[in-house]
Amino acid sequence: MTCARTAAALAAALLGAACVDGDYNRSRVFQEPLPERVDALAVGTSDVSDALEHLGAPVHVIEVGLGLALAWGWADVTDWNIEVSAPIGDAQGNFRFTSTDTTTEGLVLFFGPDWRLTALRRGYLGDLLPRRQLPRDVEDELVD
Amino acid sequence: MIDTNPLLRAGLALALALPLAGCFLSRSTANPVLPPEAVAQIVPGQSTADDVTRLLGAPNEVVQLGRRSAWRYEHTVEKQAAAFLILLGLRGVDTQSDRVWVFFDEADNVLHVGTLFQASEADYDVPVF
Repeated sequence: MTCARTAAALAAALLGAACVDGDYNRSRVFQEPLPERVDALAVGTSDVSDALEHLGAPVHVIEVGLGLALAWGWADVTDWNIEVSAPIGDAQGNFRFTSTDTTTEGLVLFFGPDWRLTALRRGYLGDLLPRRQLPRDVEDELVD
Repeated sequence: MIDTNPLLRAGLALALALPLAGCFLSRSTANPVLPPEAVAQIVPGQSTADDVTRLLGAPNEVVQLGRRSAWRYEHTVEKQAAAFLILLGLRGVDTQSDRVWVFFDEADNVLHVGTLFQASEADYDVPVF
């Protein structure tokens, strides 16, 4: 018997005795704002009202210093995995392959104390979002 | 005597396998529906926090912004579809929301309203490669 035949017979025997299963998942959460609506906003001139009118309600509103940030986020995640298990001698062999394609993206708009747009950032929402903090004390505040 | 007809064997295998395959659909929601006609009655410069509460009830989230504040209302729909083909499972989940943010000044008058109505766009979608 040639080497190729031996390998084929071995593979056939393994598959015959093995259990193979797999799954494929897709998860979609919210939707990306239309690019032309984002492009209609301009740093220094647009304000919170313009942002809400063009992009609709954000996912998050966060206080940042004396201003605020509005954040939109969306995700489209797919993953699949294959699991093969087969008896190898007296033991049960198991092989699992997993592939995940994560695209969790976001858009964050930063506004100053006058609620005018100061910066617009795109990327992964987790990287862009400022850390949430306790609300600031407004008693001694001079500018609000 | 065992019948060796390939077609018959394939049909028998299919008949045995079919009961093992399956699929399901599910729909779940979170928080009450936000009626667009109620949201449309919230007018910046005219409405107050009392008006908003009367129209939409208690908010899901309140964010303090100095002396101002913002309230979030959100109604979420999640649709899930899956098919199990014996050795292969396919599953799709789509989550969409109707969302409203209302911004108030320090006297609780409405400054801005932001709306997004996408809950009805959630879809049953079994993914394919």
